[in-house]
Amino acid sequence: MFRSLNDKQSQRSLVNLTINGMLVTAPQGQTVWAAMALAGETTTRLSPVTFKARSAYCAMGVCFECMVEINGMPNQQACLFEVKEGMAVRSQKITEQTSLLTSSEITPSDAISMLAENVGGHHG
Amino acid sequence: MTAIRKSDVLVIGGGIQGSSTAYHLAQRGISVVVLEKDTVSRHASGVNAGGIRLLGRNIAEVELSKAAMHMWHQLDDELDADTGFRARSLINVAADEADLNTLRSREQQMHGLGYFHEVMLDQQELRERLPHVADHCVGGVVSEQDGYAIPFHSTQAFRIAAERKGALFCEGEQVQQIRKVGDSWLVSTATQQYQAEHLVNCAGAWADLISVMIGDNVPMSYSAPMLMITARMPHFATPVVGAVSRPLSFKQFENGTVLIGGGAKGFADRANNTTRLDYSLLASGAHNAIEFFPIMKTACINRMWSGLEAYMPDNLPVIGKSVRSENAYHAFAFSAHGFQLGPVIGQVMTDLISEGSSRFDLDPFKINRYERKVL
Repeated sequence: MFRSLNDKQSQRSLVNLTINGMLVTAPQGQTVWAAMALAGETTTRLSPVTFKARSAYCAMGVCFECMVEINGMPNQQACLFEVKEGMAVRSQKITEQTSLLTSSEITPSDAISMLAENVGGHHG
Repeated sequence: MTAIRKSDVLVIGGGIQGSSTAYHLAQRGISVVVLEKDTVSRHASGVNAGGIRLLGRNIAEVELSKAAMHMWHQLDDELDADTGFRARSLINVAADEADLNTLRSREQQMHGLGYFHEVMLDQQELRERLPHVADHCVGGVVSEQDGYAIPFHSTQAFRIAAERKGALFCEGEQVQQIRKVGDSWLVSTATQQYQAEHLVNCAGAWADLISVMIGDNVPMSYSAPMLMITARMPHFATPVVGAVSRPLSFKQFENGTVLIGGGAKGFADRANNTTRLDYSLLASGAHNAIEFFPIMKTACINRMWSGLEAYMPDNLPVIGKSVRSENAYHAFAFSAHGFQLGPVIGQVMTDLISEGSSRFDLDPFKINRYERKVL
């Protein structure tokens, strides 16, 4: 499990956000990646080719392993964004197989959540 | 200096037109050398959008384009290679009633000429084929045989197939001088002399320079059409997409990435073999894509680039015999829509060289069509 080394963070004002649909409270100024790690949501994305789970590697903007979907925009680096009130963060699950062509009504987020279940099998 | 290298035909330019010409010549047992100043498919033939488009062709090009399309559908087998060709259909989207009127008069013209490969779509048919098209789009037109290919692979496929049949490609050979000595063309580069009975100019963005050396003046210009490609997106569009009256063109590949074009041009510097991008034009191209496909709001651009391409004032290529010199031929200035024609142009050039004529009407493509008749 990840824990925060900075006790003073708890004295900062807090913001509310969701991470994969879960309500999370995080101190202002914390990165999205740190908030994800502390919430136990360490899978930032799936590899689009192998479908394997990925997580932050460098956590300083270089490796692009921590790309997540923030407020519906994919390919955002979780380690470079600060948490904001009302922010919706989702692990990114766009792979070569992801398709929105089965229905014209579903949104990318819907499709991504639907896919998450299908993709589960690739891990096990 | 080494001995003069002799062949029946010398092709200048190792793009898709030159490589296809070499392939068709070699296939008929005619010896051919291709001179390429950089590397094969280094410029427009390697970095273009790869559109294999019959839809919306200028009437003068329809017969050539139809023949080329037929060839594309069997090209992997013919060349024993993977050109990346995918028949996905191409849809031009109509954004308003004015666009629909444009399509109706085009349809009338095409039907009158006996062409039925462009089929109009109503709003519902458009939505069935492109579920993510914006609500305001009212219809469109489709050509079923169209699609895309991977340009670098296609051009290399022609080159490799040509070499298998005996063609010789000489890279890094920039033409410095062209002379006619008796019945032969004598071409010099910095290190080598080449001699051939026939000379073919497929030099793309540098073809006007070659043309002048052959004796034909031509009002060609060149530019740097730009492209951008996104990170992988969920699959949302199977057909290649264009717009009737907006500068929009895109295709989603099998890996989910989306290639966005539309004809916006950057800055060309052919003397230095380079281009610069015009980012404000790329941004408006991106906005066009969002306007027609709202899901493109979630697109992230991965790379942007441009290549050097030759244009004629009427946006039609130069294809045919030289008017000033015997046994010289041109195929250049395809004005950003020559890639699809590549397979058939090689055949046309080979017919002109070996039989003296082509089964296609090449009058609209004459090199001297802009020449002042009276001074």
